[in-house]
Amino acid sequence: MRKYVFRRILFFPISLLALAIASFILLKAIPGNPAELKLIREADVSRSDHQTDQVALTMLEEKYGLNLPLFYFEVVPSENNIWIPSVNFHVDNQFHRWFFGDGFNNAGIIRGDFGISYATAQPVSQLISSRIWWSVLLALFSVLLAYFLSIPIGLKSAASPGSVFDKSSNTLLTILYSIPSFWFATLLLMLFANPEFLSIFPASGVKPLGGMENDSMLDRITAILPYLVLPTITYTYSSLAFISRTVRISILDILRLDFIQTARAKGLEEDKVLRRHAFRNALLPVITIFSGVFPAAIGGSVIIESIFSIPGMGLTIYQSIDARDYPVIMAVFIITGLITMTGYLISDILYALADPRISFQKEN
Amino acid sequence: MRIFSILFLAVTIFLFSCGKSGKRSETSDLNLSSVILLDDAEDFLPGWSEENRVIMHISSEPDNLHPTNGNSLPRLEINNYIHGFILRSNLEGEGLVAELAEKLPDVSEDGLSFMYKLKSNLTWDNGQLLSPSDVIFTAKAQKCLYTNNHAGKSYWNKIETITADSLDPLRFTIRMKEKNIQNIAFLFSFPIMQESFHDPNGILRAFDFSMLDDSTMDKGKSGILQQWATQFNDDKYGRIPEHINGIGPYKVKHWEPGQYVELVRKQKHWNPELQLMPDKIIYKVNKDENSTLLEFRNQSMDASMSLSTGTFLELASDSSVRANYHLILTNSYNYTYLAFNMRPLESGRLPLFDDHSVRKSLAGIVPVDKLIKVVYKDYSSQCKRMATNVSPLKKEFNPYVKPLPYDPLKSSQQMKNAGWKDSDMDGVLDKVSDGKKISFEAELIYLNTGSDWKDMAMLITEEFGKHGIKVYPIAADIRTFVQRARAREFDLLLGSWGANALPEDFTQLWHSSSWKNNGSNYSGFGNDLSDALIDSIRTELDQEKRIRMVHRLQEIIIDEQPAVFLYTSLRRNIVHKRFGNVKLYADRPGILLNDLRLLSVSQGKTSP
Amino acid sequence: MIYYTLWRIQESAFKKKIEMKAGLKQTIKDQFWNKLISKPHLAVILAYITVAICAPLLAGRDPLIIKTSGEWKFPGFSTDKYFRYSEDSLILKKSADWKNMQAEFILFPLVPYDPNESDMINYNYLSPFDTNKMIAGDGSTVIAPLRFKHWLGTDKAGRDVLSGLIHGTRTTLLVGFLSMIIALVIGLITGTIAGYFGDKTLKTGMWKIAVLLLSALAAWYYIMIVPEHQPKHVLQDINFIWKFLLIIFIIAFISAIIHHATKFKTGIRQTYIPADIIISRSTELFQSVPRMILILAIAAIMKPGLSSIIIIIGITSWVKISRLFRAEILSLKNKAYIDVCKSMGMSDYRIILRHILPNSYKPAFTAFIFGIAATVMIETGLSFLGIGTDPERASWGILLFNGKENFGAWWLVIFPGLAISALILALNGVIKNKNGRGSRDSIINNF
Repeated sequence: MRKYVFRRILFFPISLLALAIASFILLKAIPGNPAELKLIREADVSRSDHQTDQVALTMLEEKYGLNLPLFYFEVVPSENNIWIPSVNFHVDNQFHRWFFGDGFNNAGIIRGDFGISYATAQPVSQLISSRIWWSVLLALFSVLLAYFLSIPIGLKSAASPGSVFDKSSNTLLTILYSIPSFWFATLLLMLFANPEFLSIFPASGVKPLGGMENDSMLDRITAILPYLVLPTITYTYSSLAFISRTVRISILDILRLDFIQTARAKGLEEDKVLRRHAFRNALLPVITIFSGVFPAAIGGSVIIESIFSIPGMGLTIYQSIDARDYPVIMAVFIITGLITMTGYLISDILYALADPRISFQKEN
Repeated sequence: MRIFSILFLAVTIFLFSCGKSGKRSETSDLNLSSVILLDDAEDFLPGWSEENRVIMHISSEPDNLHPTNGNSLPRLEINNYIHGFILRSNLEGEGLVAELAEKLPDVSEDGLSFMYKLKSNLTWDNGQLLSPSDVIFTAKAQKCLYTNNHAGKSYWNKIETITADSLDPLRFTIRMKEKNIQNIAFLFSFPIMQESFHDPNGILRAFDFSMLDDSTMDKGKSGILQQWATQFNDDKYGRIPEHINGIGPYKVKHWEPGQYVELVRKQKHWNPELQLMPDKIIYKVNKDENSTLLEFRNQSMDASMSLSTGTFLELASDSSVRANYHLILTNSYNYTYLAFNMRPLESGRLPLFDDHSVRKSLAGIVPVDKLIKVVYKDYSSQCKRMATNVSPLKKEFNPYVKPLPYDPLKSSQQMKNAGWKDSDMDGVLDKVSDGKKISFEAELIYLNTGSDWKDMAMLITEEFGKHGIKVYPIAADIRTFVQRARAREFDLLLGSWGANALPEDFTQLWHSSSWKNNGSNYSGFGNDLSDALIDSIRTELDQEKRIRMVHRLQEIIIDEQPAVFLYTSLRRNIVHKRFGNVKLYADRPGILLNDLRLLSVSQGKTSP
Repeated sequence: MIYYTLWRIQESAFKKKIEMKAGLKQTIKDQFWNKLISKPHLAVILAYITVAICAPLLAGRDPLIIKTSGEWKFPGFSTDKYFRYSEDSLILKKSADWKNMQAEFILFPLVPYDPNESDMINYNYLSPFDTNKMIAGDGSTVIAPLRFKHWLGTDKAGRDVLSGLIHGTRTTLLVGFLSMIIALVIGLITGTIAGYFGDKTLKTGMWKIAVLLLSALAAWYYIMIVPEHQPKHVLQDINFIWKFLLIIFIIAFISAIIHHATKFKTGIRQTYIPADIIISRSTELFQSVPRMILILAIAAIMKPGLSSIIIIIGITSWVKISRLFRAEILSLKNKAYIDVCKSMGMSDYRIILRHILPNSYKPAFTAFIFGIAATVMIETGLSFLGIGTDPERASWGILLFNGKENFGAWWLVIFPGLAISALILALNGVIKNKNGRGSRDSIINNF
């Protein structure tokens, strides 16, 4: 078993490196030269008197290191015969600079420096930290809300499987589950932010205008809350069905076990059996879902964030891909990858510690 | 379950049929003047906010607010209020007006030196007087090799030197390297920076103009320059309010990333009208059309120039919105065109549009009226048809050049004469060229940024299809679009050019050199005559002569048809009626927010 | 006597086989048809499929049947680009004015409009309740008869919404099925290899790996790199994906040759291939990046179009299927009957094909169906963002995208939304789960 854990940990940096290389290749394959794109001022794309400057382009390429070869080696046809390959080696290349830094103004991702955004000239870590907050907040809110609503539903359906409540809640949640989120969001906007119908919530953004530096914490929260209602609902509604059913099934599974029969046999009330014994034991798979929240939060939700104008990660990534802002996208790839893979690593090791069969199976 | 679905359907349909889409038929008269002053609202309605701040809608966030480094459109617009400019384009008339300068410059006889004098009462925030050394610093910083204003450098490299007058502390002279009609005009888009703020130690003073773009400078000197530039390029000068410094009437108070940028009016400023201006200007970012629409219905935004046409028309059709907002379409100098790839063989495409009779006959089947109708609907009569690349709003416009009329019959005849027939009955015209049969199949690229582009592309595809021309419409994001346009990877290209009221230099768009160096002459127009004309237009300072030459150029262009010029774009203006003194301009930025005056509650008139 | 006995044994074995076959049929009917499939949901899906298949007949510009100058013609069914109105007049179908054509008999499809056709008389968001107009033969504008009505209204360029919905069904189902087939193939192969062989079964000679690696590098060089440097190469304009598939095909071909050529040689140094580790780690790699971001990034690389969307969705959704297969096969692998098969000396391929896959189809089938539902969501979502299939192809997402600008046009939002929701509902419900329990609960599986 120690061997299994050891091997699992050994594979971790290899996977990370593979992720880094894969995301690097993927992003470099996107057509469009960021330096050239940077030179085209947005104002100029449609301006007739703009000027293009070859010197500036070369300088910018040099600055971003875009004139360098991509990787440590490249295979090109040899000069005399196109059918014979020759290999060129490059010590100084784009991947090396991105990964290990250029020793000048970029320390490389290996030292936690994600570089500077091409599009906004802001350090990437700064950019991400200013955006990630809203995605995490929304994801957290929606998960809590989902648990708060769906655990009671799951419990009640499990208490009397096949009842009217069970069936109708099941049907309703399934219908909700089948609605595409962007459509649902549009409907919510049409219904609850529209003066022609009900104008209860603001239509976009996450904050009221004007600074809130002088407000107390409570004031700030009450000011922000209305902005988060519609996005939270959109985030939440489709996972209701999922969580309530997980709760229901795991409780039904546990109710069939011996110790519940014992509890019943000793004359415990059904309500208590459900809450004291079944629910606690059924909670484990439900909590497992929680672990998926943070990677999801970093990715954000492109569609929901763009509909409600939430400055979260989803929208940022979408715009970065649009602007070919490689440093930002690569940073997101690496961060989400690191978090998810660490999660896998920990859970695999924990499982192996708890359940020796797993490692045994692998050894075999 | 079935009952549920039906109920759901019924409820939703009921809810949405409430919001009936009415249609508006009234259209205002065509207005070709460069400024429109709207009537102030008669009453101040009870529901209107009395706060003296303008909330302006922008559809994307500025990349930064650095005075030199950046390339987004919102940045330029916001900088208008933070910074001062030596000259501005004259929105109410034509040409330029002086802002920081006392008047337009005196030009030397050789046309290369420009003498300016600054106004005497201009002070920076710290009380320092604006002086020619600030202008010289600005030019040096712009020109310096190591600053990150890559897109703007080419304008500043044309400067030979700037010298401060030794007698008058407010006078300075700009000397240019060569004659150009834009030698004065280029100044209007670059803000002036304070030397003591960005370069307190006067490092740039040690370098003269010729040294700044000299990449062969010795290590020690360029090291000093680089060190200064690294400091100057720092992101904080474009993002953190305390580090954004300008001589304009507003300053940045707060920037909430992805949400809004808040500008507040300065306490003290040299502008005499300062006290009348709105207290705050807030730029609010909203990219989604749906929620932008709702923001205006909820009156949570005051103005926008960047609504999509669809959203604007939807708002304009709503009487409750019209009660609260001025909704006006104004003409702009921008225009839309459908370009042909005129030199297909040199760019590796099928030889479809190299024949100018083919281009002319295709111009006869582009359904321009339909395109305008689809985009502007009931307002389509306000939209001006373009004949060539010069907007009818400009004085260089040649009134005798008329666009080719929509004439399908004549077009098919012309196509037949040019040798295009459907000989294999596959519904697509074909022709034998160099022993190979080619079908008339063309790729049309257009931007995927708005649904208008797509609608137009689809209409063109449909109309061309009826005449045996197979068009493959390809939507491209702005980066791919520019990339493909520059690599000439298209047969047809649907795009638009922005322009302004100032004399235009046609080199970038229509000179053949700009086709060869992958510039913006996408279609590949240009012959010796037109090139010579464009070269002379660039340097001709005599108005009369220049206009005659531009007229001649238009005649050549209409004959060559490098593109079908479609229509002048209309700017979609929406401004809340609680503000008076609303002036809408044909030139960019369309409206000056510091012109707006909050109407007073009691009188319903502009407050004193 | 002996022969007789042998014959009897053979006969009984034969009978048993027949019985087994019949039993299998019965089991399939019982297990699959009666217990697994929910009929009403299936009916809905079949209805969608019918609409998709018959789309050109349900909605289209060209009339299905027309009789002119005494002759019956079927322009809606034929692929000819021209229509022979009479002996001496030939009309390009695209430019024909069918609605005003003089004919003895004419039958239009249910919706006489192409999804991309802009009806400039009824443009600018015509609601389902508005009166429809049309241009008569003499050029005057009249009120359109009912058969030319836009039943579900039009969008701003006068495109018929119902026609778009009908043709959009086609796009959606095509994307759904094809991309999930790609995902299924990749998932099946990787999942089976990982699950069945594990880390310590697959053995091969070192030199084989070396040969394969070399040939892979060579294939990459000659197919990917050489065409870039040689002008007018045959492979120059071919899509990256096809080149990639070609390389995989070549490698598979070479490995098959090596395998057969060296079948009987022994005594070569062999090494284990840790198939499970490689595949499991790469599925993790795939899962570690949020799927939507991955899709957006890949979409930026590829040319926009239907095939790109199918491939993008396909290659980003195999992970779940692969994991399901792996888990299912891991649990089957240690069953007694597999050991029996092994002891009988059956080859691995035979065991997998005959004895493992037929017993593990259920999770794959379920994942396939739910995968389609997820695909529908993704495809419409991408179209809603403005990334998606080619503009000429109708899609539900594009209809919704067109409705974005105009809240008043509720018909542009409600109908496509309902079509999407109903399809997803049907797909999610078609696999029955008794009492809503069991590990293959649709929603849990799909999440």
